[in-house]
Amino acid sequence: MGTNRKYWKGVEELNQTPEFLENSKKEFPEEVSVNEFLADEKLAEGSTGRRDFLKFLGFSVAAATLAACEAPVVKAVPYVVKPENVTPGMPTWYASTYYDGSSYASILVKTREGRPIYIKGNRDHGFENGAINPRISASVLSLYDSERLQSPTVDGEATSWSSFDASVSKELSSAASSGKKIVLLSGTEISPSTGLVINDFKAKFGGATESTTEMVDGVEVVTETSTGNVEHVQYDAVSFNGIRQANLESFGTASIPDYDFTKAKTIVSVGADFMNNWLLSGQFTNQYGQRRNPDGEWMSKYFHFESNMSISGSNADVRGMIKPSQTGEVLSILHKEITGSALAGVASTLDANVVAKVKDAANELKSHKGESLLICGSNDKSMQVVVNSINSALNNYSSTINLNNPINLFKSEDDKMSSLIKDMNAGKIGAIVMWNTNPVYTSAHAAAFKAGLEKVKTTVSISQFADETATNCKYVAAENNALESWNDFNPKGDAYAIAQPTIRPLFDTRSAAESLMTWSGASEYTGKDSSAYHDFIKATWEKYGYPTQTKYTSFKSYWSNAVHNSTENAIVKPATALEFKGDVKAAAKSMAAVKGGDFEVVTYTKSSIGDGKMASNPWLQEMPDSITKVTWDNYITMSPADMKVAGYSELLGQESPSSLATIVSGDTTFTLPVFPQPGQTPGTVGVALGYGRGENDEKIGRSAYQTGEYGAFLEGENGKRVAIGANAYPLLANGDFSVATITNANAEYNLACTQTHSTVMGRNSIIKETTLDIYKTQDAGVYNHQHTLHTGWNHDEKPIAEFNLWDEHPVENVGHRWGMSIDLNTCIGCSACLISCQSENNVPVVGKDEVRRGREMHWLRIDRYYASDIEPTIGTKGKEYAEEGFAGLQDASNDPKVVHMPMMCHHCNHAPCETVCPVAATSHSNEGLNMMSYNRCIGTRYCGNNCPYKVRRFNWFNYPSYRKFTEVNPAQDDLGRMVLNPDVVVRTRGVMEKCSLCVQKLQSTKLVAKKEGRAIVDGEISTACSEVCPTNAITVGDWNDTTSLVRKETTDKRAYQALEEIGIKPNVWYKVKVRNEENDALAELQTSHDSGHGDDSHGDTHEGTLETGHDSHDDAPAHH
Amino acid sequence: MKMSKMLNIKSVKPLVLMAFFLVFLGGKTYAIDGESVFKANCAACHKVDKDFVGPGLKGSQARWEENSSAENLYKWVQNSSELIDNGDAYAKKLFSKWNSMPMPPQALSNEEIDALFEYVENVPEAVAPVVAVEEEVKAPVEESNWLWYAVIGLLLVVIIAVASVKAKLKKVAGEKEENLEKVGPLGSVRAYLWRNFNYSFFFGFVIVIGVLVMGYKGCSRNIGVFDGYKPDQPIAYSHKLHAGQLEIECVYCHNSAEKSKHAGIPTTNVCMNCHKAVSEGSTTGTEEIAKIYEAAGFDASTFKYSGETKPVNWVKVHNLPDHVYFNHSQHVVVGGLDCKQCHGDMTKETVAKVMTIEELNAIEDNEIKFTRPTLTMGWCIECHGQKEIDIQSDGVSDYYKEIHDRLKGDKKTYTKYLEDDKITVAELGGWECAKCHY
Repeated sequence: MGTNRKYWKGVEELNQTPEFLENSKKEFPEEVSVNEFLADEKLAEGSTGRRDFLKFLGFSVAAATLAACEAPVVKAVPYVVKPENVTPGMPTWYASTYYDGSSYASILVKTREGRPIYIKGNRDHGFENGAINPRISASVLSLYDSERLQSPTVDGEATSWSSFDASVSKELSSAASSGKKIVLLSGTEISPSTGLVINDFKAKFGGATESTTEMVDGVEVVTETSTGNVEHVQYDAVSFNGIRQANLESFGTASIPDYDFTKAKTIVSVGADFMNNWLLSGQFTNQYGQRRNPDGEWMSKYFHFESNMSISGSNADVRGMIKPSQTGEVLSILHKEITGSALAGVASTLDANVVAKVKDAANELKSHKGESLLICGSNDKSMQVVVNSINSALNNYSSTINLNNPINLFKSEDDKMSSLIKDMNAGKIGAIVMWNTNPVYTSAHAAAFKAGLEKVKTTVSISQFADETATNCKYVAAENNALESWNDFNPKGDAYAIAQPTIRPLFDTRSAAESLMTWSGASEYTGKDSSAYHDFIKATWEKYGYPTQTKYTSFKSYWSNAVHNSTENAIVKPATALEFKGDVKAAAKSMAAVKGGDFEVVTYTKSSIGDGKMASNPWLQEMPDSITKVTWDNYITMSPADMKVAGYSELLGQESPSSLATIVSGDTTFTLPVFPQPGQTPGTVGVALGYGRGENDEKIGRSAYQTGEYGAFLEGENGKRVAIGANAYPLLANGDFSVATITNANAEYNLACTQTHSTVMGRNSIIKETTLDIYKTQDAGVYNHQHTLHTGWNHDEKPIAEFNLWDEHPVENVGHRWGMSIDLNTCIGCSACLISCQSENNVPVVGKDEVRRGREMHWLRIDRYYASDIEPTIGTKGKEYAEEGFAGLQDASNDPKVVHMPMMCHHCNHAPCETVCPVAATSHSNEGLNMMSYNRCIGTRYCGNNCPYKVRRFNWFNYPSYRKFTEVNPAQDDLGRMVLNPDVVVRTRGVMEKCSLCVQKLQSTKLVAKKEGRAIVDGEISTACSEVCPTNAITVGDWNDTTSLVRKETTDKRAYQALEEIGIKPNVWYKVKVRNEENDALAELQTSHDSGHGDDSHGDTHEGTLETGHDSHDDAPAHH
Repeated sequence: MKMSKMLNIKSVKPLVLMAFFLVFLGGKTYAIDGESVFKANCAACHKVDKDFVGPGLKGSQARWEENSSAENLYKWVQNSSELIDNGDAYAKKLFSKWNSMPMPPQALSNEEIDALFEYVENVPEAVAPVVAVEEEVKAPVEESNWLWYAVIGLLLVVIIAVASVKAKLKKVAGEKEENLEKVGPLGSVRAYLWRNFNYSFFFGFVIVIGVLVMGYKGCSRNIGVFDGYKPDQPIAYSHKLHAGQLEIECVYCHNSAEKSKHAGIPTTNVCMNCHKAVSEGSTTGTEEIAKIYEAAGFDASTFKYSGETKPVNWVKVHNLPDHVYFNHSQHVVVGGLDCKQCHGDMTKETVAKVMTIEELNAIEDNEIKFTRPTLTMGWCIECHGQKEIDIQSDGVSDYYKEIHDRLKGDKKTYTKYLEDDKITVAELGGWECAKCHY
């Protein structure tokens, strides 16, 4: 609507390129060749005459008739002995814990007939309040990766555990007696029981024990000392060691404090993407979301300074663009403004507008002392020391920052790791045992590590895949998937948690801890069903956990409850004020030494791929990135202005490939496509970590490799599969950022980007946004303009809701009316909902080539809009609009505002899709659902064309069997198919599909209530998307229940229905985004309009004429 | 397998009841007191002439008198553990011989015990049980297949004949002149047909229609018409015997019907609850029951489970297409339907069968009468259109009370619903696509 900003999805829309305009008119791409459907290129070669065709037709009909007469015989095979906790057809839920070395969450795992098929956060237990990220949700698919190691291997040859264990134990013993070091290298280990297992291991292989004999007072005293040549080194792919080191200097403890975002009225982040992958991002995101309610006691104000456009940055109230080399300068200004003392020597190169924003941030921080939070994404100790100094001056250590409840994740010991590499190369290491780590891929010094590994006699990797590191080890102990093993965790302070297996190991694998136990002789491995580690954990909890509590009177009940809940809500030690003892001067000196360059490369981790551990997960690969909306690829994000200068193609699309550029930084060189990223600081580029996995064709899972246009893996020059993207980890050797030269590789590359698929066609009213100030002081009509129609002889103005184009469905009084409300204020765009939806609803993976053609199948997408403050000229339509509409916005592309908007079927009560279906395959229910009967659908796609939200998806292929999808679609794999939800049908080729509002979940909740003879309780209803949302932005429920939360949300003054003005009466509501910012332009825009009318240029509108406000359609007639 | 053993022991209680029916149905009335004592107290673990969970009882009285004393036998029956604790050598021996599993104390008087053993010693040799199944248990071969074989065979003959004629013709044609080939036998047939166009068109039309009709009948199963479907099963199970004569409740075996979407095909351990004791059937002897033992990995002679199990591959009979969601518990628990409504009278059938609507409609108790083939969508819809949901009377569940209250808010719709004086499933949404398709 006109009282708003102008929104655009990508640079090509902003520039209104011919390709964009052409494609935006079509719901479906038209370049579909018939041959593709025949699925056989050879057919194209032979020409078929009309008569022959008729003969073929006749024959095939006859053949089909005969063939079809074979009635299918379906077998039903019951259990011989039914497991006690399985009822066929009913899900069983288990509480467990997810930890993969970087993400941590308390989870609930849904199993059907013993198969885990779905993961969501545990909202009843654990400190994250059920927040999970897309990787946790998708991890259930990795369980069924058929490229997982299926048995232990020695030199790549499969062997049995007994002979494997015998050799490993022998080699470890000989390494111990040789006097050389034995190193245990792992990711951060937060399991208390594994810690004890490691102690046992050390005790066993502690090496030669020196004994000295002394005569003391005539008595012989023997003192034994272990030379301690077993060392456990912890190493994280992405290190947060800087924070620990800074805290050691500042407060005398090398820990990472817990942060409480619920207490922070002002949040300032300098490059810390805390909503994505910064420390306990799940917890932080949830806490942040709790304070984003403009009707709450208060709403936080969030400043973010960064180079790349990150998820956190895109949600900031105020975002400043800085180069990574200017991080120190931002901190320096903050330090000066807050503590009064300047940091000597730090250069001042920031733009005036950024300096102003930093000063604003400083003032806000100052005015909320003890209720604010400054965080920094840098891994540089000196930066973090300055951050500590500022937070200390702000009294934050007694409220928002809690060092008494330290986070135990990310214990990367970077110094130890570098000395390990040196020691290995020096031949000082006799044996190395690795688990939960992949340094040959993730280490910045991977080459040196690999070279060193060759000099170690005994190399053991405990791994699920024969990955980069495992293939360089002699012994590879096949590891369980986390869903197959027991474990325990101590993620933070006094919080302890348990992971329980939800499936018997699929292969001949075992957990890392059990391997260590076996080698140290602590237990004997008896096969898959060995309970050695389980018993060990139980004993640990009995010894250490049980005595610390008084709630349970027997260990049995204590343990059962611990397993049942997976975690106890621990009592948190309160934060206490601390005296800052850091050396700010020294820090300033080190910060001053940071030198920038023409191009600074900033690495980041995506919410989908993370650090690359799950690069072979097709759901994650196909998940459009939260910001760029690119799938299946790694790329260089660059400011469009820089791209123009360097002559890179700024456009995306099937016919407009991206330019390739080569980054050279020191010894590191790689070539990637360049992606135009509005909001990227000019002079910087961003490259995601986690790509380029399996460059030597390691067996790490099919989806980590590129596939061709007709399926099958692309083959590199060496005949091996080609990895997706390039490995940017070597850049981490340079610290927070790398100075690089970027040259045009003069080649093209196709990216599969969904950002301008399903374009809004200029219907800007789809998003409503305002500032906190306007929200607090103005009427709802100002920021939440009601669409009206003029009717009757005196042109009465009536709200659009009172008009019906067709007979109304009796949804408002008959039974239930399922409704959904999405708060744009708390949606951060993380895409956990998208993966959850994919998992729950068997949404097929289609692969990069299909995404490029605009045929992604996601039922739920998250539209990411860039916004500028300038409104299009009122009344411009069609061509004019195209040419002039965005003309004033050129600068906006450099520093846009971002809005994330989940978009799925709106279940319109006057659904445009339903009226055009020639076979009534899509119809409306009295519960307000727009129902899709796949079996009735004949694939005309009229519904898709008629859908104003563009949320209908057409099944172009038989994804579970067509060869094009063999490499990408997990349903083509006997094992991958296990993840399918048996309550939701797998759609076939030629039908439309779309969000069903998880009707299977609605139905089963209803059934439970009916069986129990009670009404449905509010809060009981959930959809896949709503139950994983880390900020609870999505509310679903029964709208007809007048006391329900969803009813309250949807009748809120912020609630609006997207595209309400076209009279379709959706059952999905959004809530206006309220940014806590001063924005004069937006204020003027919104308040200058005659509220409720909004448009003076229209003049008189007539009876029954829809006042479309500023809506513009490329091809809409100008006026009625 | 350990597990299965445990489960079976656990489920001994229902066994008492089962064994009552199964083992002694054929027994003549003899020593009435003793027989009922045996059935009520002993039959769960003992057989008369065979070892079971405990030893066979025939001759045990004599054994006790020989090895211990008659008095001790009373004590043993009344409280075996006490006797063992008191140090009776024979009692101890028995206890250890039978896996150290104590016999639970039985509240029986000495007179009852006497009567019991009198019965045990005099029970006649098993005679042919009354349970006689007149009907052949083996499922008949699926009907009408022969017709297709015949048609296909005929077609093959024709094709081969035509092919050989054609080959000959070609040979001939190679030797003769071109124009002669054109008026070969085939050509003349074609010419003949063309001349008699009306006849040939008519007969051709009839043949086409005939093929289509037959094709529909034969292929209907492929489009989800399954009525009358009764395939052979790997085990010649008889519902008639189990549900009919022995009156075992449907949900004893199909025990998830009240909980889950699947009614559940009984797992082998459920069969073993009874068949651990019943190793011989009245009609099929040991042959069919041996298949259960094979599946369960059970050795009937030693009473031991080997742990090597082999699930039974039943042929699924009630096949719904993948795109249909059907939930048994919804219909059984919420809808309160009797199994008969959809599955007909299984007490008269052997192996599972999809009942035809004639069979379903013949059952008097069945409230809904059908006109569409069983398991087709029309059949479901018919029921949903007729079946009433009571939401108005007192005492309906809170769920429907809530629905009723809401409905009252829309008088127009409510009145419309009540035109036929009842609220049907369809009116509450039972005809909506997404109730079954998602």
